[in-house]
Amino acid sequence: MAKKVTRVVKLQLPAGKATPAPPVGPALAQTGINMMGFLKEFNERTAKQVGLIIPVEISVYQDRSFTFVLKTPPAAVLLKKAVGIESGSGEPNRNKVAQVTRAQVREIAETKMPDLNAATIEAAMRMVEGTARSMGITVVN
Amino acid sequence: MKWMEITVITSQEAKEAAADILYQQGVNGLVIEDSEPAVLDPDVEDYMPLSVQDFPLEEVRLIAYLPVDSQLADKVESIRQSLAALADFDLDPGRAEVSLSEVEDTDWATVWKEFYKPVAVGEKLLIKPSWEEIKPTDRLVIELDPGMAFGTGNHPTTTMCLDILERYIRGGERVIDVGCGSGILSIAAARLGAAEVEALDYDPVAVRIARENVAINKVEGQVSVRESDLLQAASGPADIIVANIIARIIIELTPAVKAFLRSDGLFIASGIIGERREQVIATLAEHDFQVIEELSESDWHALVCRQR
Repeated sequence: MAKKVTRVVKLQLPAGKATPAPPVGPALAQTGINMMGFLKEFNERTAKQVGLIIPVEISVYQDRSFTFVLKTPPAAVLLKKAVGIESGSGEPNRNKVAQVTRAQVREIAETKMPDLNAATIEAAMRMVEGTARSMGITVVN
Repeated sequence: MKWMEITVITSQEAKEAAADILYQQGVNGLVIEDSEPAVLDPDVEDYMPLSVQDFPLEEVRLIAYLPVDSQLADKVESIRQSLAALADFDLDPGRAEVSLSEVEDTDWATVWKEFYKPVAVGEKLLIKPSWEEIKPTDRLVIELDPGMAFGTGNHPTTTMCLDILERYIRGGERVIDVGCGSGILSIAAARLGAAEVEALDYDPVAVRIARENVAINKVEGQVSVRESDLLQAASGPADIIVANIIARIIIELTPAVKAFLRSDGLFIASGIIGERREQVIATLAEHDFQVIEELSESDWHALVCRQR
């Protein structure tokens, strides 16, 4: 059918457990898409990843029908998984909670590369390394 | 319950770290606005240019929500401090600006329904969402909820096709609906009296949704929905072939239409944007189709064609 994208909405939502509460409600209400239909579909498709935050990009068409694509989890989530911690440090300057190797950083950067606005793998690694440090994770060789 | 909308403006480089700062304070998801090209369905050709106002060019806006309660001020302060401290970790946080705006809680689960009201189309049809009650009517009612397949009855390309089907179906026809989306045209054809309708779409999501809509409207006896790349899975010949897609696909489809259409059959080509109209008409002529009627609305064109 004839489709024209009128809007792209980018969200990050809890896998399998997204609800109409903010941010979903305020972000999608103005688009007029079937919010409950979206949530049902998103929760079904991400049911196996419960506990993770999953980015999603929703394309809204002129007649308010929509499609969406799921993206890779945020860098912070991948970092926590890679080093086996539940949460980052509350005082990342003073209190270091884990170490991540450059090889692990590269792996995460490669996973995230298609979804990051980074021109090169080095730029993506820089983002991931900075994110790690800001969470109290030391980057080691 | 009240919510505080927290908007953080930061750099592309720091967006992942900034998002994590918000999650540390207990937000339950984010909205991200930036200029990063959105991944669009590669089959979608005719899309509107996205508004620059909606997408900051250099920076990233992260929007998150926290309940307004006694801990809110501390959490916001903590977000500000952590953002400013990103420079210590070799990340340029950009403006690292935090702004707040209070949002009243709304019945978000139902507010979107306001966009959908029963729509009368042509002389005979009425499209209505499932939750709307309507007065008894002589019109043929099609129940259809908007969702993940095109065809909600809210787009001129759909309403023009409905209008055409209504005037050309006399009863007993065989119809093929190529790119059926939500199934709206197939359901309408069946309700208007077509004996047999094949609803085809290459997208498995559309096929699933069209099947659900066919069942809701109790036309399973007449309409069969199948996954098909254009006419690949079609079984001709049909009295009417309707394709409400986009110009590029209509052009690709046209050479195959004749094989599935009776010699006196109709080909309804729709979803044609103004600037591609001439090209579509030329392709149709090349394959012996003559335009016998044309409808236009908001720069969209629908062509009713017969074989020469």
